Amino acid sequence: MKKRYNIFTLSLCSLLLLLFASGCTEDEMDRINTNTSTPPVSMVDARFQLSDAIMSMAFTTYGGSYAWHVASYTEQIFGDGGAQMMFAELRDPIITAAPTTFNNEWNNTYRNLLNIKIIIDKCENGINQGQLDLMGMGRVLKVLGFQALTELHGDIPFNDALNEEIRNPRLEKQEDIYASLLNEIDVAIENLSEAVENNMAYAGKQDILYEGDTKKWLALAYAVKGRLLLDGSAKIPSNVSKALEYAEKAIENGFDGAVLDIFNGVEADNSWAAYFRSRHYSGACATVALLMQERSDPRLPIYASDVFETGVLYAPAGDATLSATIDNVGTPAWMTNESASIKLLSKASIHFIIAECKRRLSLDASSDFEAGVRESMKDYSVSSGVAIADADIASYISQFGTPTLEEIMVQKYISQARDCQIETYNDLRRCMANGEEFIKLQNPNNINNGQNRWPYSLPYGNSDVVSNPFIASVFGTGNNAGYYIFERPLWLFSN
Amino acid sequence: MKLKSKICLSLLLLSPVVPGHAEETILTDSLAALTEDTVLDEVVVTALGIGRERKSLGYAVSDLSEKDINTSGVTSITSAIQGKVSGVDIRPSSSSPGASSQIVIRGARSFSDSNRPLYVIDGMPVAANPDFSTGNSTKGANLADRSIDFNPEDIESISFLKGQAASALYGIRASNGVIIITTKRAHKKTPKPTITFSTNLSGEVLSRRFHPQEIYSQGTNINTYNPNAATNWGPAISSLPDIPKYGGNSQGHPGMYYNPKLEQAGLDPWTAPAIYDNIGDFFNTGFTENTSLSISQALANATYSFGLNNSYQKGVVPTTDMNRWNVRGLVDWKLAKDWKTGFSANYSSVSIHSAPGANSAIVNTVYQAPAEYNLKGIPFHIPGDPSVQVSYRPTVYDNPYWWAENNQYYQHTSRGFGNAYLEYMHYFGSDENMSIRVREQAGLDIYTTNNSDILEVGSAGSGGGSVNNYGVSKNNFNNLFTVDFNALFNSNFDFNAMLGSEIENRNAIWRDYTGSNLNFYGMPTIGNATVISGREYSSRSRSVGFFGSVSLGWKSMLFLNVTGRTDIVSSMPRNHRTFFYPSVSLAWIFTELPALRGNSILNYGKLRVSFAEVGQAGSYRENYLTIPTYSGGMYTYSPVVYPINGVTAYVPYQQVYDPNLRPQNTRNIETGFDLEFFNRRLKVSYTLAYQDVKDQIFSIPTAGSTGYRYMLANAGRIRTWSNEIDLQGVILRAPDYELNVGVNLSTLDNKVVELAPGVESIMLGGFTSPQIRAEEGHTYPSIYGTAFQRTEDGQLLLSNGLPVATAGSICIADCTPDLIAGFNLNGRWKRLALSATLSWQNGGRMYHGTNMTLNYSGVTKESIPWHEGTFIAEGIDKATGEPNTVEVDRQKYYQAYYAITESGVYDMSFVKLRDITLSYDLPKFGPFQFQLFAFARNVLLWAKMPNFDPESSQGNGNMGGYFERFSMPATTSIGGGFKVVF
Repeated sequence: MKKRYNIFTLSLCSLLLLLFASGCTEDEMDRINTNTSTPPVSMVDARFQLSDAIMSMAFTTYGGSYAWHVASYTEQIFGDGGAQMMFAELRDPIITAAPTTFNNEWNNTYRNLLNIKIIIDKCENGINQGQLDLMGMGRVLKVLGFQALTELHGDIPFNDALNEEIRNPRLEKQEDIYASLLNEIDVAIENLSEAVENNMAYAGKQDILYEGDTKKWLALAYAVKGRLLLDGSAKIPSNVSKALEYAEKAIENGFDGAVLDIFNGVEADNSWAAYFRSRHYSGACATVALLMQERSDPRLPIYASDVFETGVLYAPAGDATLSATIDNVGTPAWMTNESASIKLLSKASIHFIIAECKRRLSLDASSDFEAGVRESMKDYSVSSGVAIADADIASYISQFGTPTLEEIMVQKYISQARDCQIETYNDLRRCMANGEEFIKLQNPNNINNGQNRWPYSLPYGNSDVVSNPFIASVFGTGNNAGYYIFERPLWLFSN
Repeated sequence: MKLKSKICLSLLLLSPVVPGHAEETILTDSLAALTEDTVLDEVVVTALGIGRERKSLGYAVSDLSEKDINTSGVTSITSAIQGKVSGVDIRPSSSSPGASSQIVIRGARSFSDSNRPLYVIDGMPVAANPDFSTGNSTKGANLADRSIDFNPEDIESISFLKGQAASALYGIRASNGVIIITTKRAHKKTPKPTITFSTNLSGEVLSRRFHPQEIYSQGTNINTYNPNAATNWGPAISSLPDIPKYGGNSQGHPGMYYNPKLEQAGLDPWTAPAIYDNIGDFFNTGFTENTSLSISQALANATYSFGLNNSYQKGVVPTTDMNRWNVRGLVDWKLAKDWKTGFSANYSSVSIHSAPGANSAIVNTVYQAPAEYNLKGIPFHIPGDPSVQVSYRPTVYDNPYWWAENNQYYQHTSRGFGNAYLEYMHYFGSDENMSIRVREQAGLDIYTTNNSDILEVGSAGSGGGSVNNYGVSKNNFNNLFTVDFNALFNSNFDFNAMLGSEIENRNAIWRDYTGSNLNFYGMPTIGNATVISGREYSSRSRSVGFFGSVSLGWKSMLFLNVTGRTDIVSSMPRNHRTFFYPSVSLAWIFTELPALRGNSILNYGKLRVSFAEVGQAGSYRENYLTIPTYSGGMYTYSPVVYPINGVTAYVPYQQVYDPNLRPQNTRNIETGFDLEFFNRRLKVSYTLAYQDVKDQIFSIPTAGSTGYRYMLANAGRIRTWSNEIDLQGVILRAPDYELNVGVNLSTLDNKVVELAPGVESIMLGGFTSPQIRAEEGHTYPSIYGTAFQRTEDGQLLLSNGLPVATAGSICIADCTPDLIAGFNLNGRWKRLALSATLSWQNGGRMYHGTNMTLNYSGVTKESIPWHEGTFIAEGIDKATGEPNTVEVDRQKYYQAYYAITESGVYDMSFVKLRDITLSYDLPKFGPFQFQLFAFARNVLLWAKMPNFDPESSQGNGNMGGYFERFSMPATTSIGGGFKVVF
């Protein structure tokens, strides 16, 4: 009996040992650790990455928190609600100079650029090799992303960025980045031209911007180049004529705006509307409203809509009392339209870019100015669901006769209050570099105790401030950490 | 003592054993020995359930027996042991039903992963961590940790393996320490079953009730009443009839004022100023019930035990509750002379309704309610449409009564765990001085959690309503095989060797389905949603361990123990999966020296020293793409949900994985002594432990410009010095009465020595400002946020007479307390017994967003002097460098002051009567033995922080305990019950 037990014990031990040994080989462990729920990077066709490359660019980079904050700096939107946007309105460095303010957008824009980089890489060497349409779209988006980052933050990580081997990417000069972006957009134009010639249509419905229409992407590439050139025109005056050339090429090639209209109030909400629904921090600002009032602008009731029925239609920029209230100041009607589109570059803007260039080159800009105003009227109307009579538009335009440069810039400013606030921030800084002040900023908090508190740029994202010594050193430490944004204009917006 | 007696004693006390005929004599011997020499042969449970004599251990082990654990009025193990063990820091998130607790033994070892210890119940490791993190803990409800599934009433004893030498045999899971729980079982052979029935009931109230100012009304400043304002800086409530626009004195409604919210609610908008107790109105009296029935018996060849328990808790916040049922069965059966088998089976079902905090909090609307607004009395929705809320404060926060009526945060877990074993034990050699034990044990821990967050149509921030059903099904298999060899070579040498293997297989399937934009009010289900998205994720892992230990005792004076374990883990990269961890410990009972033996003052003295290394594995993956989500930041809901019109999308996952991942390494050196004086009436124990964690595996936050947010890699170092002192004294001892006191003191210095190259700090949770972070050069964790700008000598810098914040966030406080102490008292006089536990925490800082926000909003009583008038604040003018001369409104100054995060940092020092229980044993009545008892728990005696109990906070992870913003409150409970045994 005893012996039998011992044999039994021995067999049991051997069996268990054998089981354990076979259960922990490297191959078996690899099999167990296989990720069955999410695909490895190399497995996925790049077109599936394109959709969010577009969405993120529009929703987060051009329509997100960057836009919400600079809209206060440009006085296109009044920040209220007694919290974060109130501090922005009061130009309190606790928000305007804080690295945390734009951390999400900084991170998400770079993350999107990584996604775009992988798309381009896959088109060069991966499973999408040779798909020039997808590659060109990737490059246009890459330019849009880095353009936003450098125009908002100045010197940024560029060549070192988006590389998992480099945890602390070096900053590069805005001048060099700007030149690289102009080169990149040229390559994009080349890729897309070739893709048009070869009728490439690899993106298909995953292209949520143009449904795979490569020609429209080509037109957008020209438009992006035109705007990029104009943005640098204070620094490089010869850019004006080039900007005109490319903006006109965009129109010639059928540019109809880079309008992301996928928002339906169901699966996808417009970013401004989603922000408003979440926070109620956006009001109408007197700076815009008074410009409209002076011109009897039919867009005024849309812009300063009394949604809270308080009779306070708009607020003077920087008003401390009103910025502390919530659901009090009137707000643009589109804030409550979750289906409103978001633009990466509007058709109105391209018309105004052409008008501005022509005016600066002493050419007749009347028709482009009129086209810009008409596009803007349409945009205000569609986004708010409030009709504007054609007759009102015609009589409105007629009051300007031959448009002055100032009126072109004012109309561009009004137009871009709808959803191109970042471009307005660029326009204001570019004009300041030229010594021009077409839009007179009214916020008294722009100067505090004799010191400038209007940000010339936006502070870096916190993730780099705390994890990248190259950025930490620029950001600074101590009481005035982050105050560099009040001290000097960016290279691009200086002369 | 003979080998057989020793082993049997340890098994008798601590692990399933069936005394057969042969052992019965030994049992008697053992018990006799125990009585004679109680202290020296006291046995404690150590790693893998091995019972060892306490004197032979070269490291500290704390243990609590059933009588030390006060289970009355509590529903969780963590509450039952709080304040009773040194070196074990327990931070409850609140007293809300099912609220999580953070439990950390001797300080954190991981920056971002769990620091909770391993739980082992009846020899089986069981899951106790929360499955769902509260993330940054800035919204939503607290989520329970899985220790809530265990019934504290089932506990017979708990051992705390605090140091790594104690826990090294558990391998990679052991670095955070181990809590070994042995459940109740029958020990004495009885002719009939012992039936125990007990029940206790208690009522709960806020341990500290906030009292707001009741002078000033809702408004943005002293001149402006504003029924939409987020603050209570308005004019005096008594003056409302006189104020322009809203005052009735000039509008034909003398003595009244106009409140548009009344009109919205369908009432007469003209009302006379009155003061309402909105806080008293809202919070209920909570209720807790615990009822247990157990039947157990030791028979000739078997013991069995059966238990049934129900715990029900109704929270002080309406609709919050918890209901738990536990059933367990345990059988040990002696098959033959050397063979036995047995099993332990446990079932639990836990359902919890909780309430949200921070950004989706409901108590903020209660605390901030203007005193003139009748929050309870004014209907919470407009007439005829329950989806349109009426509240004094619009849109972004729910009216708490509307919330209670409509929304729900629900968690439910059904769980079964247990194991079965077969054991062979044979004695041999001359005088049976050797023994071998072979034990095979297999167990399962299986559970399914289904949670649901329901926001009805009309919810703040999610107007269209949403339903989020999420959960996990887990299946963990554990197999443990051990071979034990014991020998007493002669009276001088005592030898033990053990070899074993353990395999753990873990499978999990995670689910998450969200439906949003509901069609209509009244049916908050996924079926009523217009947007539905869902995810499923499965994960598997396996770890295989081989281990061994050798112990050698010499003359009952010197004891050496060496252990080693190799783990092979699937979740690490190929060729980096195998790790080896050693430990060595030495105990020297110096009172066994001839010169000291029999000393009448110092009866017993032991020095102990140990060294150990253990590690933790990471979860490695090949880099992958994921479907992007849009939420967080300024969004209170998910504005973009893929697929959109049939289009879905993939983006790189935010974390990149280092294929060269190495195991994290924790080195631990521990030393200490145990002394017993005066006929063992005074016991003193001291432990100094040093712990050095290198090569941590953690999600290193990377610069966003890399395109990733995190890299899972090795980096960083954290080192901890901890001191633990335990004193136990028998003050009085007589047949009719006794009085015992115990004191435990712990201090901890855990410094983050380095993070990763270029990384100064890492976020554990929180808002943009503040956050809880691990900050290089500071203790773990710290509070990080905007600070006051100051001169070099610390004076406030003022601009236009107002305080100025730093733009960037900085480390503003370290959280770790200076000292945590527990005082225990046990007294008995005849049949009357009293026990009490007092907790004292000295120092430590937390961010208390509620106090800060209520000051900012002019709600606190402290703010009363700030509502009117002007003053010249002390400080230095930033522009001139001269003392400030600018006179400002007091309100403006204090709003600027309390907008800066540093103003929200508070000292957490407190003294709390954790529990006090008075019990009376009635004389035996036939077969019935009755005990009656009354108790009070969590009586906050003193706290340095104003207005609130410091033991209420956000989060169920490493930030837990230090970050508060409108969190669920802590409560005091008072109750009683009875127990009958027959």
